[in-house]
Amino acid sequence: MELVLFFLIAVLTAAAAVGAIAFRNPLYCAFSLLTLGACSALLFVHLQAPFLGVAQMLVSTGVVLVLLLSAISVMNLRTGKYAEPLRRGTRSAALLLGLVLLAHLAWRLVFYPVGIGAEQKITGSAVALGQIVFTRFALPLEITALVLLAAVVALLVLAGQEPVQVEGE
Amino acid sequence: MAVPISYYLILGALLFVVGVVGVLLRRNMLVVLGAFEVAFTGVHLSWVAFAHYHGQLDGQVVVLFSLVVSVAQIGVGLALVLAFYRHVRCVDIEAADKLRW
Amino acid sequence: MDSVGLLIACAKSAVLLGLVFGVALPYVYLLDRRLGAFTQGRLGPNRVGPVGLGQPWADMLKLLFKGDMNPQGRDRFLHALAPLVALLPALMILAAIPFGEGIVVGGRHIGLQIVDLDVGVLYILSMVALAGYGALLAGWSANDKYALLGGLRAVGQRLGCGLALGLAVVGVLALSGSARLSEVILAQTSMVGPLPCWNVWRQPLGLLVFVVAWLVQIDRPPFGLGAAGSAVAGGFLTHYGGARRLLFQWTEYVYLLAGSALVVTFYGGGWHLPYLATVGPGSLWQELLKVAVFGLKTACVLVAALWVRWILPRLHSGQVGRLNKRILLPAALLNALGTAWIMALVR
Repeated sequence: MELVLFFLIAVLTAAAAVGAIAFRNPLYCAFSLLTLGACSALLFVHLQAPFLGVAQMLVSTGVVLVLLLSAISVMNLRTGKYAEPLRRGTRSAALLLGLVLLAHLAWRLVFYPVGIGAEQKITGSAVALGQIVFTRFALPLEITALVLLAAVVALLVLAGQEPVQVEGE
Repeated sequence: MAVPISYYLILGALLFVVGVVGVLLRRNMLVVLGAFEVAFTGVHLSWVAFAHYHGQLDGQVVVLFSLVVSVAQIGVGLALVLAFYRHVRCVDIEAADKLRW
Repeated sequence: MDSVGLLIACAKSAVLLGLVFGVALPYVYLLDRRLGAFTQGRLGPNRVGPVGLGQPWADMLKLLFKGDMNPQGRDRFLHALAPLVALLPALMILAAIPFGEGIVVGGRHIGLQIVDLDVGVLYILSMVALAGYGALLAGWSANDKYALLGGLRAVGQRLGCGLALGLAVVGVLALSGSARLSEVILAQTSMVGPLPCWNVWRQPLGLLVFVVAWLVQIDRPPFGLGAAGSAVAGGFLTHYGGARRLLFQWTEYVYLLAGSALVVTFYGGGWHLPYLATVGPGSLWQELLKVAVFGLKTACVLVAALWVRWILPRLHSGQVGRLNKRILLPAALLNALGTAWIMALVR
């Protein structure tokens, strides 16, 4: 039963991932990302990480995607303007690289499988995660806060610039 | 019957590869940012799967920080794309071929 | 989750959805119109059925049969999907709200909420974060600049005030010591002298910020930037008629219901009433009393929220932005910090 549910969500996740990079219309790509975020939140919950699942929804789908969608809408990008391939050979090279990576990873996982694992499963609840983060991971917490601050300052500076007057416009 | 972790790892690996191929293949900058997000999702899935496998929460804490940093990264990336758009009025990577304007 | 638990959750969902769509939504809509009429010195709908009780059903039938005019060049898939994307997060918020303490049937404690998540508060915040998608997709897919403007404005105001909303809830989280909604209520059930420890008195600033930020999040006047009739010709709702507009209307009212229920849960003590509806498993009548108390408190908050729309003029986008930057965010931060300091001092 669990296996069936996992396969359903996994197939949807993979389809959403491929959709996120394959659609011509960038809004459809963003929408596939939304589906991907929701599916991965479900998978997190299944892996005893409810806090992360909710955090993923909140942060990834709630913030990132809205920004992305707004950007796409503001620039009013509709279908297909960027459908021409890159320089000759880039597309085949990229696909070849993807296949090689995938084959290597699949080989590793098939011939060195990782089983079910430890019997004691901890649930990543807010309390449990909080206890670890604020004691053992306090330094990374502070560093991440600094990184966020730097990002906020960067955003304010970059987004606050005046639009450039292009000739002939 | 529980799901063996290998399946999660395969899914995470697949997502990562799809994301990398997307970054290499797409010309629209915003879709490239989205492909980054796909790759991140694959990595996060692998971290959480390993945390589940070992019965510890360290993997989940790493993913928490990684989520935060990836949000910051995409935000700044969007701001950069916006700044670029103001100059060139398109979001094609192929148009970003000068070092300065 | 075992199969019995799954069945019970399905049964609870069915009951909740039935009550929401059959009873709550139509009569909140009627109440909204009657309240508006009352504030404007007129009667409001009173012809269809006694006291106008049949009006919501008549309106629903009318909207269902109206022709669906769709703009040319629209994005068909997203245009059709947007109302659903708008409605789903609203309904999912309702899934986590505790309407009563819970009954014990056959040795099983069945809580009166569909699921009592360990991270319930954060789950609700994440569903609220999804609120902007309906408006954005609706606005963009219509191939119309007014719709797009409406959608973008709706998203802008939501993003801005979502932060204040989250920060306001931080105070409640600190006081409850848990993100589980049932424990948020339980933490308010102790009594200090004659008064119960409801967060209304412990977090007054947080309550104000939460209510204002919530009204902004659901795009409700006086903050209705997304679908503002006078500003963007209907905003993202412009090209929706018939059943799809009904779905957007339902979305607004479900969010209002959910918001009122959340105000009651976070700040109003939930189903608790001192000396009458107290903690601890009781008989079925006691549980019904708790649900009734919850319903009554929610109704009070709901009436206030509905009323606000009719008496305050609409703010324009600059004013909403300034409200957020100068009042909401600092107040929310002050609330969070103040709560932390006072808790540290008291300990």
